[in-house]
Amino acid sequence: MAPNSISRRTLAIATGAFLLAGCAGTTEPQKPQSQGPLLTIIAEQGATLARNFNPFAATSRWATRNALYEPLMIWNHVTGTLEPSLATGHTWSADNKTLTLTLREGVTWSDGTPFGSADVLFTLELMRTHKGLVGEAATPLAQYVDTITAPDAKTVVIALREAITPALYDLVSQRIVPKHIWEKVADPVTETNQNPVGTGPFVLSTFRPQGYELKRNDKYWQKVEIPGLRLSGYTGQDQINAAVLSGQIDWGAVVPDPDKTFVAKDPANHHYWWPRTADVNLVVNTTLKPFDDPAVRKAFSMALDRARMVDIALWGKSDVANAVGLPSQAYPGWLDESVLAEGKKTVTLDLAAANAALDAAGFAKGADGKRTTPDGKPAAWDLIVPTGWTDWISVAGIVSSSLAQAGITANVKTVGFDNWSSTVYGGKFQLTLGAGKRGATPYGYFRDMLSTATVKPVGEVSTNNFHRYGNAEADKLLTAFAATSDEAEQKRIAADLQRIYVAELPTIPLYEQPDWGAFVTKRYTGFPSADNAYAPLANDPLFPTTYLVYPKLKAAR
Amino acid sequence: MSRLPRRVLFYLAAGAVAVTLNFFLPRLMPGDPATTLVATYSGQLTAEDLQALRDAYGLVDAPLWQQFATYLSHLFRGELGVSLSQFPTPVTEVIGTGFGWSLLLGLVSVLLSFAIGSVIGAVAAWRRGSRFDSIAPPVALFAGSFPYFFMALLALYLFAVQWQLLPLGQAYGFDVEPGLNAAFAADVLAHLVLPAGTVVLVSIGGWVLNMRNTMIGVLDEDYLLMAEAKGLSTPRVVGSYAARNAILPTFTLLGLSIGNVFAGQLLTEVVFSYPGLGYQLYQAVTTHDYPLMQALFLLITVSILVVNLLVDVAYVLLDPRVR
Amino acid sequence: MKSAAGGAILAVLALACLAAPLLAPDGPAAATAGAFEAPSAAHWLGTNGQGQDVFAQLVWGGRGSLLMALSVGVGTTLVAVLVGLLAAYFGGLADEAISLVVNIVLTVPGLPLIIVLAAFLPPGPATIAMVLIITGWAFGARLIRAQALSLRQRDFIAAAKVAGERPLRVIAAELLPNLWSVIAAYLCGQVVFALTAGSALEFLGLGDAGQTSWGTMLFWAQNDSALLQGAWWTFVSPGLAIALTAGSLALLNFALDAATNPRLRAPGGARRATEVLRHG
Repeated sequence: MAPNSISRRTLAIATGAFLLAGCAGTTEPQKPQSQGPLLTIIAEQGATLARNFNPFAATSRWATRNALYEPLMIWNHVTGTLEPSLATGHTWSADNKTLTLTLREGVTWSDGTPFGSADVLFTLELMRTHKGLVGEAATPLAQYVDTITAPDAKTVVIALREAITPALYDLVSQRIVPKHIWEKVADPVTETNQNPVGTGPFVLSTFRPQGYELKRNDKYWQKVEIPGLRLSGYTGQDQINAAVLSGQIDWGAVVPDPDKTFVAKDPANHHYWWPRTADVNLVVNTTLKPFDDPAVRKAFSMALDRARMVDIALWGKSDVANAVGLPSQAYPGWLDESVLAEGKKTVTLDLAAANAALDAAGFAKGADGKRTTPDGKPAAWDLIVPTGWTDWISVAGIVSSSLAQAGITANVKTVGFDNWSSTVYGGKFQLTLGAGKRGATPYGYFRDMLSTATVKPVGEVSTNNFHRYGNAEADKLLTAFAATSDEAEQKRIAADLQRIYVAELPTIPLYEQPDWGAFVTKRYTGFPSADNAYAPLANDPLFPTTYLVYPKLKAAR
Repeated sequence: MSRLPRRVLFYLAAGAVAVTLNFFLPRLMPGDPATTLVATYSGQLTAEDLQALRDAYGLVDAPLWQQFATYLSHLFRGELGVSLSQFPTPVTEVIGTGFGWSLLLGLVSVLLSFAIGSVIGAVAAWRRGSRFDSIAPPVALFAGSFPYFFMALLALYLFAVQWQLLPLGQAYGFDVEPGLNAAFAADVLAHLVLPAGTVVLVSIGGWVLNMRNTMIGVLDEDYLLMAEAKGLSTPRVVGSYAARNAILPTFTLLGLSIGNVFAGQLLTEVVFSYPGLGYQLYQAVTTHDYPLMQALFLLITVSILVVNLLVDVAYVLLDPRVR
Repeated sequence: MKSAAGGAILAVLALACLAAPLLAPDGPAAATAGAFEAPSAAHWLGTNGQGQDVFAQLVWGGRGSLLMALSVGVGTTLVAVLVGLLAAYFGGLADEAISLVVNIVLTVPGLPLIIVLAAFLPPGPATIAMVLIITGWAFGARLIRAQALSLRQRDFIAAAKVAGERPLRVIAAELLPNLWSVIAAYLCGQVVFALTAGSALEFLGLGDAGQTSWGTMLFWAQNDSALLQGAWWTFVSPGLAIALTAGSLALLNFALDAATNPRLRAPGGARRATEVLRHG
């Protein structure tokens, strides 16, 4: 459950953002370029940016993972396909334990050196031998990968210790670095890689503490029309909004109440597209009484006014959650309609049913309308949310007033993000909000939600299953899911997992979280949109899907 | 007398307190940067990776006194560590980018509000009881009672967003080449207008009142009556006699204000995204960047102490009565 | 005239906040309307981004803000008077020691320290008040000490001491009454300081966004991009409330300033207030 995938603010930070170009008050942000204006993207945060282009560092610049270093393949969560990148395809062996990747011909690094299997091998081995490198492949390399070999310059073979087909997505998302440069790097953990050499469509051209520019890599393996990118650090939502509205930005993230504030200013050119990829949940700590009781969780769920959450926190631009906590758009064909119908009433506001369920669970109602728990304590808990996550704080307020109607007190407390993450991930919270994991299949989501393997004792950090719920039956289903590469079989298993989720309701789904994205077509067209949904629009640093967008962008007529 | 050596001793004591406080403060804060990192990159880091990163970040679980000893020895060698939020950039490098901007913004706004405020105050004192005296100081004070960030945000919204007359933030635009050229200087100036202007607006009242009160005290002195009796022109009496004598206590305040330059601009820098030390400190606090936070806090405290010491020295040199 | 105007504004604001349960019986958190509705007969000051009534928030929020400001003002003044008088009365080694502590506290940068402290303590008005008292008393102590020292030289104090009066009695009966104007001016300045600095902290997100106060109202307005969406009323209302309160206190302070001999008055009170305003 990466919290970053949800909060509006953090998304703006993560997916970020922005361009303060022309902060000298000019309306045209760019000085004359030989091939037209640079594409201005909101994706960096801070008034001063450090020059760090190390793809293995958490603190590196956005462009490192989204414009300079490419992955082997790109999981496109809008079309549901695994798109080729440095690798053109993959095959699983019959026992689903050996993964063979075929690499693209004719790719060169930006310094002219040819790219090949030695680079892939080197990158993966580097991550295995150096602890502390951040990357998608870190977990599978540590847990499942046995050997990595390169039979020839264009083939890489990865042997796993057991059949874990979902590991594919993590392995192929890893950004690849050039062996001839990184083998000379003394310590890849502290390397800042100031002059990056990658295979991506751009190369670094100018760097200043307040921003940087990339120009097109003429050796890139596919045709890209845009002459380059411009990124500068922004420091707050106000700056982003002002820059977006003044037409300085081509590609950004969230704008508040977009129809009113953004589209209305220039309906022909200002667009946004917010597809939904994950749900926001009310998370209860299931290690505490009475949250260990599914009946209590369901009673809470039925007391919640989800429609108001969507109206107030998301300007009415999303939908309330279904009973399994998976957005229907994001997993076409994976959701079982009968299970959804069965669980419908638990995620629908019904105060009478909620009150009845609480009465039945032994929550006595006092004269002041407030309930006490079966142990005789006041039914009051703290609902903590990180400071500054405005949509969550606002949703938490609605959760609190909804529960108050049923006699339950939820005190909304905002705490600093560091404080929030250590409290929540350490299992020391009572109530909080969280978001489901998004992925190629619902496997990761259900593993986080239901698997005993992800349950850690209270006090030990667990970032994915922080509600700390495990189910032995779900474990068996998850193991079976991972062992097969047959999608029909996986879908059958997923339906059973959904059934367990609805019966147990380990977390309480609230609403579908949009994947923020906005663009301006004054200078460039071809951005992904509802009509042209070829890739995600969000430029989240956790997902390499921006590489799918660059080749599609054309200068506006 | 023994005034100066005693002051130096005092500053050393204050410095020691600041260094100690500086060590303990961030360690009292809950949460730790590594957990935040895991949260951000969940699934991309294993437990071993996390441990390796904690080691690289210098987040050790050693006893507090041991950490304190390490901190002191590093401090004496001038090692301030690496920034966690911008790992592995050294803290000194991060601060280096902000230092100059804070100094520029601070000096410009302090000197401007001092100059304007003192002139208004001097005139008000000279014309004590006049219409100017009954309007200007209260108005200046009232302007100062607006919450600074409220006025700053309003100014930002009106001038930068609504009318797009002035830049939104930063210290200079992306399109000018930093260097010694007119275009760059003009751009830096344009970026200074809003932050410095708003600070001047709210801080002017204090200088008005200060100058007015000091002047009134001085104006009652005999030598001024004498000068007036001699028939000297009004501007001459105000400028050469009254203001000059009133300036000494004011000088102390000015020194203190300059010492506060790094400490006092935090809100200005945050609102206008001005890349100075105050903004960096705010960022360091919100991202739990201990080393950066400590270095900034230390720098700010030391700058105040040094300026205080300089003011003391200057006072001794300027005022014969203290000698 | 100035003090009357200041007093009148202050009285109206305080009364409105005291009468909050009558003026806005639904409380500040009731969210029944749509987001960012313009001022109307139903919502005098419009609604905010959460669909809450801005007027209700203003009168309820004022209670928290004013209470916080007042407790910081009284708290710092008490500490400052106590420390200042003790140092001045006893003199000698005690004075040296106290002055050393005061001067050290004075050199610690206030706002940065406040921000660091506010970030690690549990968020809320009590935390903010405590932090502001811890960091804010030293200047007053120095001010009071200086004033008291000058009184100490006077004959009537010396006479009282010679007459064998107990220290406490001398302080309470002889020193204190002669310091009232300085103390009152200082208190005014501290309340203004607390109101603006506290609101600034809440605005920066270091307060408790779940509790309504003028500072958190500004925080919400900023976070909901109120100005951008044209909902100026959510931003201007709490800002003006703070400004009016601080302004009327400044007027009172100014009148107090004028009431006392400017030559006697240390260059503190009002100047300190504006100085701090800039910081806070």
